[in-house]
Amino acid sequence: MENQHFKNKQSSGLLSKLIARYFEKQQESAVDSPDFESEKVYQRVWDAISEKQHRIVKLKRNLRIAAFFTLFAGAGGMAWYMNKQPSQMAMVEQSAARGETRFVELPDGTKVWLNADSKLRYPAGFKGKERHVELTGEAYFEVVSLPEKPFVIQTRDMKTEVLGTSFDVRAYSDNNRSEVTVLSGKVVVTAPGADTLHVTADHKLTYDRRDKQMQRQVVNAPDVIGWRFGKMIYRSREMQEVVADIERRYNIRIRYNEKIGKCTITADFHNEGLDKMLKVMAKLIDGTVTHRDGGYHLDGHGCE
Amino acid sequence: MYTTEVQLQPDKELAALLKQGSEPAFNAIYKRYSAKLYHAAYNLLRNKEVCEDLVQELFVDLWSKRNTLEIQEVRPYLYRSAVNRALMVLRAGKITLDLEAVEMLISEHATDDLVIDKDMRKSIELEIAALPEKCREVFILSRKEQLSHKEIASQLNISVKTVENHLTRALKSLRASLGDFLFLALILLSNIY
Repeated sequence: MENQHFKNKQSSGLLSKLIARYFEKQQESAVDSPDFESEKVYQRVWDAISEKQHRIVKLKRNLRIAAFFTLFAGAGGMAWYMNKQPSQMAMVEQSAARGETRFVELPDGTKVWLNADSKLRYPAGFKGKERHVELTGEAYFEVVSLPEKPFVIQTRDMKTEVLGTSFDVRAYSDNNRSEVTVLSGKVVVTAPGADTLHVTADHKLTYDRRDKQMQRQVVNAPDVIGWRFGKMIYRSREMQEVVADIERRYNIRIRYNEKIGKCTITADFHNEGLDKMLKVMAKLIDGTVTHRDGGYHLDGHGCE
Repeated sequence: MYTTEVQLQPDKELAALLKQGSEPAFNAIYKRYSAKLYHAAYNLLRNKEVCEDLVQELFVDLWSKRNTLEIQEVRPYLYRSAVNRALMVLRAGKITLDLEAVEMLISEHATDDLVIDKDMRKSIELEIAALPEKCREVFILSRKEQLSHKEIASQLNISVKTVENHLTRALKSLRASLGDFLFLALILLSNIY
């Protein structure tokens, strides 16, 4: 019944014309919809894109991505140099400066989002038995599954081995704790002086280099990678660690008295802006935040 | 998410970067236009899910065709793509335009150069003729003669409320039998008469 009407080209043309005019007009007076869930849809866009890409023949993808990298090297002034490893493979270094995050696609199609003040080194092509990369800082990985070629991330202390999954690694050099949070799949983590542990979806592993202890806990994994979308979500985090995150994110210095560094806070920040965040943090510890002498100061009595 | 440098670049430069596969450029285009495109689509289609899908597919397509597309101007390209996608949604019968949206299209965008041909006119006349008698009478007085509800009521010696009921029933029934496209023509027709 309905189809019969749509066969009428004339009437369909009529609606096309009106709708085309409507959108033309909208284009001129473009307003942002306040209800649009931009981040959610953006995530879905990439999910759909990566699903499509996985269907592309592997060989073709490798060729395509090789071209992609050359381009980046030309434009971005990337550091290329020969590494002393037996493979003699050129190593690529990509980094996100303080105040920015960065997306990197590896030669195998693996997607990496680098958080602020983080650095990733990897070979220009993955040859040999495993895909080996080195990380300082924090990054979220969506690893392309290649069961015969494990993906290995080396940080200062930890070695994280995966077969194809998505997860976040956090290993800033100013922090004694390193973390791996898994969103899907399974990873194997080893570190000096500690057991080898498996981490599965929605679990976080924390390694502390001081006591060489590994700890596993259940977390809401999407919260952990909220930084990809500008969110900062903390569950019982020490103030000093949150402050370090904010310093990296906004590329600023925040001074605070030692007493409050050990206070733990729980808070969700969704792109509220620096001033608002600092106010909330001050309130949480019953303290104050001031801006003086060209810097921010957090003060409080500390938490017992 | 990315450095503000990219976020501030003009469309043309972003389009060139996109062609080279730059994800920051893609992200910047998304940030600049997604909420606007959603707003435009939602204003017309009034369905959150359908409009989110529309925006999603539009950008997935933009990324997957980035190598081959000749995007002279990003904005007109995105809006043209939105038009096509909105029409696809309507043709597939996923949703139908609500009356308010149809009237908005007519009142704001219909001009005399929109031609309604004989066949269309005929099928509309047929459907009007098929309405129940009183219902049809009220409908014709209202649409063709452009009488007010009150005038119709006094002419037919019925209450205003009854006039409104007849009109509602007529529109509902015509919409069901004609579908979106012809229904639109019908409303347009009564403006032209």
